[in-house]
Amino acid sequence: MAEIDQKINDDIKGLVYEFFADECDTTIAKLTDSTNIIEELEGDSLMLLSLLEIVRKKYSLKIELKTLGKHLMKKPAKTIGDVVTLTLKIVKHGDNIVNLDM
Amino acid sequence: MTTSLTWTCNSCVPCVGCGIDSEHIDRFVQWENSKPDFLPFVFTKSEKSYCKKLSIPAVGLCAAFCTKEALRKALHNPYNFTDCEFFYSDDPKKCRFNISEDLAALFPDLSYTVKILSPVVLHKKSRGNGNVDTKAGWIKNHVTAIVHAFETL
Repeated sequence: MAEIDQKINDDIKGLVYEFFADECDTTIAKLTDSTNIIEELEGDSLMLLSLLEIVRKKYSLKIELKTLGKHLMKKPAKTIGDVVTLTLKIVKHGDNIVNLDM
Repeated sequence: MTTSLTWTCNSCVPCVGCGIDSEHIDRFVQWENSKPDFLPFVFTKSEKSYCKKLSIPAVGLCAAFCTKEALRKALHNPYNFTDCEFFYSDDPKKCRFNISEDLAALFPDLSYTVKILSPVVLHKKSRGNGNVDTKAGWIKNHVTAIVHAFETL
């Protein structure tokens, strides 16, 4: 289990915001934790996988898609804030994410 | 103008799931010239090397991704996308669909059909044109996959 300090926390939040601003042709200033990815940004699963690829490379992660899928069925990531939380959990727990009590 | 598509599914065995997914081909262009380790949780090495040899690799990647997503919807369950492989060809008879033994074991009583609605009018010179998302033009730069899951008796 990786330790998440404040810098990593800030880095991941910045990465997620920057990613969605870039992908969805908007600005970071227009995004908030409560921005709905599907309804407001027209995001989709491929976008989430693209983000996961960036995170995987940056933090050398190994996580199975089935694991992530099971987690998302229990705890859907609908907003930017949800994705930030999800990304932090992926970096911290990897494949153990599915065993967390949400 | 509206675009209408109709497809049929004739089978003598029960269809227990149907999934459909459609993506814009241009979204996959970013990975055409990537190092081979891109999206390892989505595409297998075989798929990537196969797509690399296609005249437009992004079409193959897009078709494979849509097939995997459509299968997930047909199964109503998440699975590892690398357990399903799809090798696109302009000739529908030459498209290949494989599922791993692990995935087959999870759903032992199912068989699948895959139908790809491919962009027959796509040409290289039309790539990168982001101004096609009208109802009539939408299909041109997209690949759509439809997966049916049948119960084997």
